[in-house]
Amino acid sequence: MKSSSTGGVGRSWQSTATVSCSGKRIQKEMRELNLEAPPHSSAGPKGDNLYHWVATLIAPQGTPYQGGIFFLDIAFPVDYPFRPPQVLFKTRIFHCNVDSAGNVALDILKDGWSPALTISKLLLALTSLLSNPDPYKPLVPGIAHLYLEDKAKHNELAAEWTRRFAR
Amino acid sequence: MAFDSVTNAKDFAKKKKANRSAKLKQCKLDARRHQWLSQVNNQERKDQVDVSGGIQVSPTHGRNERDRVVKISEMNSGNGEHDGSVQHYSDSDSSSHSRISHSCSVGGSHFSGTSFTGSGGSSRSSSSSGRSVSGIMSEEEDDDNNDDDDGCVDDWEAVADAMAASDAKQQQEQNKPFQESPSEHENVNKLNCPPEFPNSQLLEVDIPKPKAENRKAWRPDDAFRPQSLPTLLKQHSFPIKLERHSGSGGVTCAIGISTQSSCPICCEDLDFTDSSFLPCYCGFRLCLFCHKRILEEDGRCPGCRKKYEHDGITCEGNGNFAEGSSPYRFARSYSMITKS
Amino acid sequence: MFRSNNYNVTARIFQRQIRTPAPGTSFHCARRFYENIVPSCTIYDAECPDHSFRKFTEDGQYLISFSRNHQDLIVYRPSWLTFSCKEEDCDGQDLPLKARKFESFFSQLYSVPLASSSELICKDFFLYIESNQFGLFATSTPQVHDAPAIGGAVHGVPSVEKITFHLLRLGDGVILDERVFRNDYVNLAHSMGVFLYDDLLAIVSLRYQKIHIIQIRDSGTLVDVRAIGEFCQEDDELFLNSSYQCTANGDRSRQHHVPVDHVGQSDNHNQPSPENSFLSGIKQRMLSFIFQGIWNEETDETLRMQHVKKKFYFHFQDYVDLIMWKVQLLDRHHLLIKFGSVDGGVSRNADNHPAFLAVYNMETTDIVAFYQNSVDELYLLFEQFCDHFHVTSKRSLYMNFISSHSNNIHVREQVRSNKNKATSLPQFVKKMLSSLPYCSQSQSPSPYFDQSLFRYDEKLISATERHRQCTDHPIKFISRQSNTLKFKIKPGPEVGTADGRVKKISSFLFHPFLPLALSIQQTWSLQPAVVNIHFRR
Repeated sequence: MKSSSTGGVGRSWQSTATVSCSGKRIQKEMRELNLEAPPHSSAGPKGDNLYHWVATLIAPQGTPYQGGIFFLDIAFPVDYPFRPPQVLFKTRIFHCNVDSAGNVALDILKDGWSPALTISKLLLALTSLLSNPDPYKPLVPGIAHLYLEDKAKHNELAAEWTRRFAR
Repeated sequence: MAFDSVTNAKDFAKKKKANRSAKLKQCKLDARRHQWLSQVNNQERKDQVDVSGGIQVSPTHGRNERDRVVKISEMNSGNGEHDGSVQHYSDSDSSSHSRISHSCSVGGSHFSGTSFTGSGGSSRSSSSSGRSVSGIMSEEEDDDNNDDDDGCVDDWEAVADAMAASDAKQQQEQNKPFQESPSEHENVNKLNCPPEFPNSQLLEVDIPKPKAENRKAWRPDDAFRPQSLPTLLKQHSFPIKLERHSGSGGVTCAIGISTQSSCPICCEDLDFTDSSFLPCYCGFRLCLFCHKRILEEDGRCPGCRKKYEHDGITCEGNGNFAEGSSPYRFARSYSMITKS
Repeated sequence: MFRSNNYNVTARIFQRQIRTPAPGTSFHCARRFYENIVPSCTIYDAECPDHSFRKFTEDGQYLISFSRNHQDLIVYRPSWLTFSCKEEDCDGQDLPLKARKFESFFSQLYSVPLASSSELICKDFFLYIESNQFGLFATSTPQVHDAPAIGGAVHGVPSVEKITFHLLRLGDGVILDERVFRNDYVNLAHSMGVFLYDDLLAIVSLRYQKIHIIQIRDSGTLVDVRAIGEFCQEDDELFLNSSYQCTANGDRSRQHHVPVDHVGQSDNHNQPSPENSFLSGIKQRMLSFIFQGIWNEETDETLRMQHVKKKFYFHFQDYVDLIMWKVQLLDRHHLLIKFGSVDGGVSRNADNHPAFLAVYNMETTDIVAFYQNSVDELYLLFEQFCDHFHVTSKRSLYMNFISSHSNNIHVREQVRSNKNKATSLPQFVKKMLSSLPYCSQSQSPSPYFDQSLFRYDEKLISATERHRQCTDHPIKFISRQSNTLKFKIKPGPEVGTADGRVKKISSFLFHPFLPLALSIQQTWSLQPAVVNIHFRR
């Protein structure tokens, strides 16, 4: 029985429980992903390591990124879900919220993270980021600038990038 | 039927498991009977006061009040309050014993709570149970009624409700916003708890007006509800059977039963303490480990992203409700828990 | 009177006079004469200069050899022994003394120093551009093992400080152009790392995982067409930089502190950025192709995720870690690329490592097909259409008639019997497919290796030019039609002597169309090689 008496648990118990706790949670999310697969995306652990996942985003039709397949690295911290996973784009993308090293600027990956969020929701958020870039909090100001000023040119460049680097 | 909480607690725990299934059928029949009776006795009960010394029935309590009571009782995770109410009961009324005696399929429980049940609360509980069965329609009914001769099964709980309600009265002023919006709470309930047991929700709503503010009846799904008591409401009992760990207090914000079996954060099973723990308005339930962990980090509720309000009591979570009485009940419930 | 299956040369000539062969078979019919004209006479231990003889060119014009110190190139022209005989019965006479000389058969054209002092000519490497009579040679500095993996290099691949490719006009020995690769590694042995098709060269830089496509112009210049690796299209890098510039310009007007200095990034991208963690262009194409294949395999959406997980994500890192081992051109646009793990790339024996073959279209930068090297489907393609893999220039006179199991019934029978004898089919398939991608110009076009004409022991001699263990027994060439021994290749008269116990390596050089062959036996020591000349007297 978990709770001996009070709500607080001894420190030592908590720390050893953390690793298995994150592992358990990741496994549960994996099972859930099997059942309700979000459209346009999928994710799974890389080999045996439960804490290193790979995700694939199939760019939705109607976005300038359509036709592109984007691979992402997802690294779960040991104290997941209390800390957000780290997401890195492995495929080049012309996006104002993705920099030239592959880092993503997504609020739920930093301050907006909640332990109630799951990979499924994260994938949805990333897919929606493809459809709707946020030029007001850009990681690449140049691209955001272009997005706001000349959207057609931005889309054209994004499509060209997709054609060259993300097919 | 002298009350001995220590020994009774142990026996109770054993009996609980043993007798549960056997009681279900009986409870079903009882509930139906009570329902019929309650409809008969509805009007008579309205102003019933004094089941026991401590119980005060305020006829003016509306459904809102009941909601309040319910919430408070659930917030307080039942246990302590029950203890408190039990003891309270024992202090006061022996006169009610007679009424209780016939009440039970439960029979023979030496739990003091039982004795009370038979007394003033019986009628109420019967009515409440009756109401729960007929649940949906009777929601609007405002039944503060109590006595019911053969609803003795339920009476004690009604009494306890009344007591709890009277407790709640004191905090009513503090909790005014909740009073105004029972429907919101119900909605929240529906959000947080799958609407598997709408009846149960309604039951809570329809519990006769609280007779005492400091007392709280054993919730039908309370894990510590003496096993010897007949399970009141089938809709409650069934979920209890299914979910041993599910919330005693039931639904998060206000009404209903928690059907969460595992913490959404760490995926560990929610035990009783966790299930009865409600840290946030929004109803996001999580285990105590995770709550503590989150408090160490940024202290925001994962569901609504608002800061957890410190209430000084780890188990009690948000200070929506009776802070004054909570420690008292809480302490007692702890004693109950540890001993069991 | 003259039966068509008469093996007599006279009869054959007469047949040739009066009959035309079936359409498309004129070459084969002409080849039949080689049954009658065989290099049956052997001159043992001819006096020849101490060079390492490499190869006859495909058109038979030149014999390529390298000096012993691997610094010079010596080119000979094959001619023929000429002598006159005053006796009445010339045929019965012994050959004159000068027949023993190498120079009677070959005349030296020139000797060119190719390698500088610190370099050595890679004597296993030679490619001939038939159309222009150019020759491609390679010199390299000594190999450095345990080279640090910097600058985007693959860890585990050795490094050579300098590899130089020389383009020579063989007619006069003039060096036309050079191409240098620094701190790189190209598999030069048996020309495995370089593929020639028409005028296109595909050079695989193992260390930097790039395929350099180079065109050989008629004028003799080597022109870079593209480098496939990190980027797929020729102008990808340029485009990337210009994009950065374009967006940076917009940003300059409203520059403010940003955690990631975008303007700074654009500067970084002018040099190769080893910290870049993006998948390389070819890898992205490959992974995307595999993913789409697996994704579309499972139509049921609920099972799809699991399917993808098991088949793709589980092996994702293995796919990412694959490196390009070998490449060949299937035509002017398509490449056949072999991928494998790092360990298997540099070693010769790669049986235990998984390998994949991908068909890549250079123009559209798409991966068209992707197979594992044990897949039956690919094996069937290879079995039936082997010649499409063994591509040679269309303009080649003789290279298009090399026997393979797709064009020769006897070879196919052999392969079939091997297949039936094989204990494990996947192993057999792997072994067969291990010859892909094909090494260009690795087979001799000599008609004496034509399996429909002659039967010979493939373990001792074959069209594939490789050094073999020297055997004491003569290698017999038996005519398929008449089942008679036509000629033998004997290693030498010194059989059974003390020397016989020393291990010798023998190699055979057959002239493309003359009944002339050289067999060279050498030991590991620095003793000069024994050269036998086989010719038709």
